Amino acid sequence: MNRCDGIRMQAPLYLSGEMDAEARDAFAAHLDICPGCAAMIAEDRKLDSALQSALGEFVPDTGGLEQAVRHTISLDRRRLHWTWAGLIAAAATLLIVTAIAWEYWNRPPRRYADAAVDHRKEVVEGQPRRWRSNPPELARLAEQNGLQLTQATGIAPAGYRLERAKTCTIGGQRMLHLVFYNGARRYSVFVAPHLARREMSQPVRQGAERVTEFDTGHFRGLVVSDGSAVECAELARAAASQL
Amino acid sequence: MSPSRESVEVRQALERLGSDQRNVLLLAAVEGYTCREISEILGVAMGTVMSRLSPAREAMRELLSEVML
Repeated sequence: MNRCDGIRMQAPLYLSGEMDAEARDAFAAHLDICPGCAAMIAEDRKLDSALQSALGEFVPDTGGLEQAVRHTISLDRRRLHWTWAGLIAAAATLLIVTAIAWEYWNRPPRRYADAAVDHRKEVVEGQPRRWRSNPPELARLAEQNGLQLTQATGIAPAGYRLERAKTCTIGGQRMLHLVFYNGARRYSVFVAPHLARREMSQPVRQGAERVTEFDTGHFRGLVVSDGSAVECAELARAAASQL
Repeated sequence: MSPSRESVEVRQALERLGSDQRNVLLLAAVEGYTCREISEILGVAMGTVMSRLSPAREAMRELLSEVML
């Protein structure tokens, strides 16, 4: 087995960040001198991004709704022949469709719900997950997501410390899930590299939690807290100011 | 909003993989689990995960070579 065959076998460990420093350096050194293996790794990263995008796109299934409305209208037409009752039924149907459409277009983005659910299941309810909590692992995880560990630890207000972290998928995008703890309360920050304009959303209630989104121009993030809207907005402002 | 052509082709390519390869690829690429975590989730050896993951990525690269690579 030549060196390139070994590289192909070890590629999953390299891409997932599971290699120790020595093995990772040796792997990276080979990529520097082997265009074929370097291209393979670049293509694998591109493939992973394409998979995340493809499976993250939300396609609402409106076919059933449209068919039901058309069926209702056609029944009304046959039975009532455009009597007043028929017009009222059509108007009611239109009102229902408008209400559904209004609800659909004005609901918070899916990533808000994903972030709130992750926070509730993994932090509030404490469902078992593979968290990273020691500094070397946290540093490596942060680096894989485009952050320095000092940036990740510095985004919380005074009194809070970075307790643990893991990667997750929010709204189809791979994000770093950071959990901060002040001895009494925990809140979550989901962050990923992102290039866009600077902005911050109003806190949105998702079940028992509030979610605020921020965008620094370099990173996009979501803060999930069970505190008030003002507290949630302040935590998001603190995170955005450090990234 | 309809999905992009690339997304459709990625999904179609994914469906052409065997379920073993598709499962490890989704856990690694989309859910972000490590090989060790995947081996624990699926109850198989690390080597098995790696021997499924590399061919899965290779097959996807070939299937999608005209679309994205």
